[in-house]
Amino acid sequence: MPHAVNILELEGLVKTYETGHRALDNLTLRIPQASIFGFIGLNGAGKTTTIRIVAGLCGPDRGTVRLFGREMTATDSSYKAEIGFVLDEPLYFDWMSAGDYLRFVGTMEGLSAGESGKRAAELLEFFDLAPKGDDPIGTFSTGMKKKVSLAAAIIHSPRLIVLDEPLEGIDALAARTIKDTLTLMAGRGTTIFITSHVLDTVEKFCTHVAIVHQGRILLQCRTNEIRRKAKGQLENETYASLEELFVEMVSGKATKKHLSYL
Amino acid sequence: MTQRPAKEWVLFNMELRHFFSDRQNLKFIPLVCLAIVLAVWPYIGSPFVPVVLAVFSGLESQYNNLLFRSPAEYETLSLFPVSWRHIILAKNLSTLTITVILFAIVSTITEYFAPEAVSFGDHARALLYLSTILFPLLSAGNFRSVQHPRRRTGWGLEELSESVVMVAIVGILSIPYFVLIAFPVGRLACVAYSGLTCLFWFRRSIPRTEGAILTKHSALCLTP
Repeated sequence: MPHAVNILELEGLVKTYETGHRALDNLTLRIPQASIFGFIGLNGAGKTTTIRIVAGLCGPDRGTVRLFGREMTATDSSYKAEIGFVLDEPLYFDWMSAGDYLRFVGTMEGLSAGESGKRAAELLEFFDLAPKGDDPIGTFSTGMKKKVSLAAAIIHSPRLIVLDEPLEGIDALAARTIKDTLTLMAGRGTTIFITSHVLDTVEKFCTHVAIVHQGRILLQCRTNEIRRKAKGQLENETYASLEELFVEMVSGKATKKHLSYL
Repeated sequence: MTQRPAKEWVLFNMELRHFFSDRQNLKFIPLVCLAIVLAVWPYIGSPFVPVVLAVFSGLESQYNNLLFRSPAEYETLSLFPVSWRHIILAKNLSTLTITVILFAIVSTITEYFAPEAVSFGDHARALLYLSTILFPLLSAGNFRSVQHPRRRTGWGLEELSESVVMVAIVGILSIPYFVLIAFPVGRLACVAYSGLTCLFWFRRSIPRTEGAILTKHSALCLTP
C-alpha cells in the first residue's frame, strides 16, 4: 500500500512552456497525510507550475499526479471537492460580494445552502471581513482578497489545502490567524501543501519541507530532519537556519551577482 | 432535512445575477433607443427586426464569450468539482432565459412607440422565429467561445466589431426560418426544425464544447 500514507504524489513531472522554458524537470514529490508541507524555491523554480498542475489548471508534458491514491485525469473533477486552493493570483468573481462568493463556493463544493450561509458568515467574522461582506471583491485590497480566497478554500473542510504564497500581502495579525487555523486543521487530519518565500515561517510552521530548484527537488524531508539529511549533500554541514541551508543548497547552483558600484 | 441545490441551478442563478448586476449591460440603453428609432421609421419588414438587432447585438458576449464574462472566471470555475458539460449547460440555459426576458422587455418598449399596433399573429411569428434561431446561436456561440476567447469584454472597438459579426450570424441563421415559413406547412416545419436544433445543441454542441475545452485547457488558463 505505497499510496496509503501519501495524500498527494507527484511522479516525474516534466513541464516545458511554449517559450521553451522548462519549469519542471522530472519533479517527484510525496506529501504525507496530515502534514504541513512547505515547498520552497527561488522565483521561477517551479513552485507555481507544480501547484497549477495539482489544481488542474495546466497539465504536465510527462509524469503523473496521484491524489488520495488515484491518478488525476483531465476529465475527472470530483477530486476537487476534497481540495481547497489558494493560488498565487487569487481566483474569484470580482463582481460578487465576499459573502455571496463564499456561499456560492460552499454550494458548489457540495454543502447545503443553509450550511454554506452559516459557514460563510462565520468565515467573514473570523477573517475580519464582515464589515465589507457586502462589497464586491474587486474593490478589496490584496490582503483582503487573499483572505477571501483562503476562506473559500476552507469553507468545505477539504482533506487537502494547497496554498501558493498565502501569507504574501497579508498583515502580521492576519498571518498569525491563518497559520493558527492551518495548524488546527492539520491537527485534525487535513494536509496542508504550502509554498512560501518566508523561510523562517516555513521552518517554524511546517512539519515537512522540500526545496525545489530549476524544476527539480534538491531536498525533501521532515523539518526536524533537515540537519541530518543535509549532511553529505553540502560542504558546510553546520547551519543555523533553513534559510542558511537553502542559500547554501541553491547558491551553488545559481549565479552570484554583484553591483559594480557597491 | 438539508437539501443540496443542484450545481447547475447554482450556476444558472449566478449567471442571471451577474448579467443583471453588470454595469456593462447599460449598453442596452442606447441599443433600445436605436430600436425605438427603427421601430418608428417607415420601413418594410417585421416590427420585431429592431428588437432582434438590439437584443442579439447587446448579448453578443453572452453567447460568444461564455468562458470569460469576468477576467478570472474560467480558472475560478476550473477549481470546482463540476464538469464543463454542466457548466456549459447552466450558462447556455441562463443565456436563453436572459434572451427571452430582454426580448419581451425590448419588444414591449418598441411596440409602445411603434406607429401601428402589432397583431397577435406578429407575436406568434416572432416567437416561432426566435425558437428557430436560439439553439443554433447557442451552438455557434459555444464554438466561438472556445476558439476565440476574449479574457476581457467591455465597450471597446473589438466588442463593436463582434456585435456586427453577431448580427451577421443572426442573419445567416435566420435563413432556415424564412425558407421553411414559405411552405404551406411552414409553421409545423419551423417547430420541427427548432426541435432538431435543440437536439443538436444538447447532444452535439455541449459535449463537443466540453471536449474542446479539455483539449485547450492549458492554453485557456493564465500561464504564470
